[in-house]
Amino acid sequence: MSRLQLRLGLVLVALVAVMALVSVFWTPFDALYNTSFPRLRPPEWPNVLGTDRLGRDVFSRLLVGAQSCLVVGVISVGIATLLGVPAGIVTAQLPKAASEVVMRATDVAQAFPALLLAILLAGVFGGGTVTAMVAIGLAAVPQFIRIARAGALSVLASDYVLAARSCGSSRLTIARTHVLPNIAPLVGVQASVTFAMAILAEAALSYLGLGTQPPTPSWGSMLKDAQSVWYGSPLQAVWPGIAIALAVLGFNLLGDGLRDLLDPKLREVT
Amino acid sequence: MSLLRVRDLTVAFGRRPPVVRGISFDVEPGQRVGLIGESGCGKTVTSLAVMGLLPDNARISGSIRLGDVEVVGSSDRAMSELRGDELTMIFQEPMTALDPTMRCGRQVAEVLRLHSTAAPGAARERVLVMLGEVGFADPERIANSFPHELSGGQRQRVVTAMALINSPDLVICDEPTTALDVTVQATVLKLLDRVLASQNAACLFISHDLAVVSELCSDVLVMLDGEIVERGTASGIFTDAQHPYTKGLVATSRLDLVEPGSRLPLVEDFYAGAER
Amino acid sequence: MTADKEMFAAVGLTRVFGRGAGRVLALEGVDLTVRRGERLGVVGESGSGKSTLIRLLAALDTPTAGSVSFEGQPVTGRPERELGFLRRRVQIVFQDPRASLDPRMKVRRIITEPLRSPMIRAELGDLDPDARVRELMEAVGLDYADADRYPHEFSGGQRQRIAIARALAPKPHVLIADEPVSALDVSVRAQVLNLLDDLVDRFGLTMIFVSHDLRVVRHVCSRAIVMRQGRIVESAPTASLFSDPQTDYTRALLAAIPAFRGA
Repeated sequence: MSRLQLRLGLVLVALVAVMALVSVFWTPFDALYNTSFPRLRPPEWPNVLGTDRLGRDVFSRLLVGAQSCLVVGVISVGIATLLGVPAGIVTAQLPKAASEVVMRATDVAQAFPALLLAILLAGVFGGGTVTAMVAIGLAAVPQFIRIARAGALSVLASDYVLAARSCGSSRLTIARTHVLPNIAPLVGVQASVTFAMAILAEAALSYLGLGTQPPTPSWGSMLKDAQSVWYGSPLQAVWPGIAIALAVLGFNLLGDGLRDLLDPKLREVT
Repeated sequence: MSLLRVRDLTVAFGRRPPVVRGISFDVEPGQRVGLIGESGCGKTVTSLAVMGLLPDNARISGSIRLGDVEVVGSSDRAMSELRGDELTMIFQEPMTALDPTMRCGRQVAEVLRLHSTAAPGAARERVLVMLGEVGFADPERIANSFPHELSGGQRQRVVTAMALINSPDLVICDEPTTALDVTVQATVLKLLDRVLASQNAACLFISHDLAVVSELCSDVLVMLDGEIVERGTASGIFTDAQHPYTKGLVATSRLDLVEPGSRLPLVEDFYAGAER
Repeated sequence: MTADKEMFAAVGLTRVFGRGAGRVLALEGVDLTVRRGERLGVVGESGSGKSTLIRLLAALDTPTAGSVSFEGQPVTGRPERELGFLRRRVQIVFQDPRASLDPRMKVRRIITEPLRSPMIRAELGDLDPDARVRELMEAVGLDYADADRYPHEFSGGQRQRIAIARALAPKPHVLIADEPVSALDVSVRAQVLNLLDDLVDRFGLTMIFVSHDLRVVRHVCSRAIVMRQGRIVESAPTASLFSDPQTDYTRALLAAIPAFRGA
């Protein structure tokens, strides 16, 4: 079961990646400025998914939209990982009282919704892809701290860390050689679930006009554009909707599949 | 008629080669059989097969008859009627065998209630008597304790009480003393000996330690790589082992016979060639 | 006894964990001398304080009171960076090799880990790691061809050999073996004990051997201390511990050794 999940997740994620990659070099038509087609055309050759309200090719825009979806995912997960994992490992090594203070602080931070943070940041710095990525990334940091701390605590309690300490290895060395490799799988699971969350958040922000700015297409902004023509051309909303759903599903399946694969309880009985 | 009759039992997981390969043995009513072998030899898998507790990906063939019930292919529902009643098990790690959120007395009573129609008051009374039988001087206090409030040895005694309160025909003990301190191990072994005798229960005792098995069992099965390579009475195994592996096991467990500081005999020493 | 014969000297060693109602006195006023070349057995059950004692000796923990010195130099109260002399010369083999070997490290990296520690490099100089791995693996009876495998690919006894090789890597003077055979099958126990015996002789090591099993201690050690509830209750040559135990607790430990019925 978990293998199937993992495979399906991988296929969907790979699909998004291929779409993004292909669109860098080639799209059937220019996705940003080619308005030469009839507006709101239903799917028919050569516009396989039709055209939008400015007469641009929807399929081309969908391909390019995969780029912003991936970029936002990678950057925001990157921010969350780079800040959260070291912070979590350090927290695990703090004295008990200090560690508790950090954990309560992450509780508070976690209660603060990502979307609200993004709106706040957009208000200060102006909306845009960068603001969206930073907001989504920062909002995910507490979760990474929690995961990394929990993992680091169990690794730090192990005999192999005691053995390393008995050789005089420094905390930094132990964190690098023992803690990081052993919590990497946990972090990987969290990253892939966060990736799904980031895609969804970016779509929501773009829909609100705080994410990717026109004319660059993103799946969220395509949804927003489709809203105004919903009664006449409902298909406009269907394509980006499907794309978002599949990408989110893909990363969630990947995360769950990885988790099951790593769950020691499932591996133990042999 | 044998109480437990295992014939040509083979167990494999997934597509891997079988870990138990066509073993057959009997346990008579009241008989105590030690199943001995090193980790990975298939002894725990054998015990789980008898309990009907193998995971879903296990492929099992052959026959396991407990009294007149065939365990292989039996539904989980049918097995759960047997388990805890005629057939019980004592695990290695008593902490995981007990529910941390439930007082010990209730856990023992639960086993009783599942398989009999005793009134709550009478159940309580029987639980306290049973806790007294497993050597607790103050059963009342133990019954009101949570597992984490007890020591490892006390927990294992509670587990023993759970395993024996329904007067089972067969108790399977999977390394029940391995996780315990030496002095506690000695106490638990003595206690097991006593309660098994008083209830005339048969026992399949799984261990890697021949010395521990010899404390409790009259008969021994020696398991190696999924097969039973030797069987006999405990004293026969000690004095007149046939299979080189058994000879090695006997020699390695008799630290008391080796001059301190000299080289200890190894299992390999008893194989003529290099091959095992 | 002269000071240069003393490997470890511990005076009034006390360790208290927690405070208030949850306060645990793990070790209470333990005095101990370990002589060069000695094989000292430390016998006790869980909660006896034996693990706390060896952690204090190896400076992995700080005593609440009392002090430890090693080869005549004080250990207690010194900052970690000044403990290089101890870190190289005292090595530990832990009870369960499944827990003491990092599952994500190859054997080669596990064995050379002590050699990468700056503290040990300062003491020992740079050794050729590959040559050292080969040497050590051969010394503990492993095949050098397996150096690039992961611990889970080895049996329990082999994994304990890997742990022993790691402990020997920095050419220690003292080997602390913390229940090195109690997580192993009885049939594998003899192999590891013989190996330890050989290595201690070959490298002229001092060994502190912790065990709950008096039979094993008698076989390995010349002298033993029996610990209970944080105190040393008896200290004697192992032979006389068996023939003439002085305390009820030692007698209880002896009585708990499984007798071979019918043997």
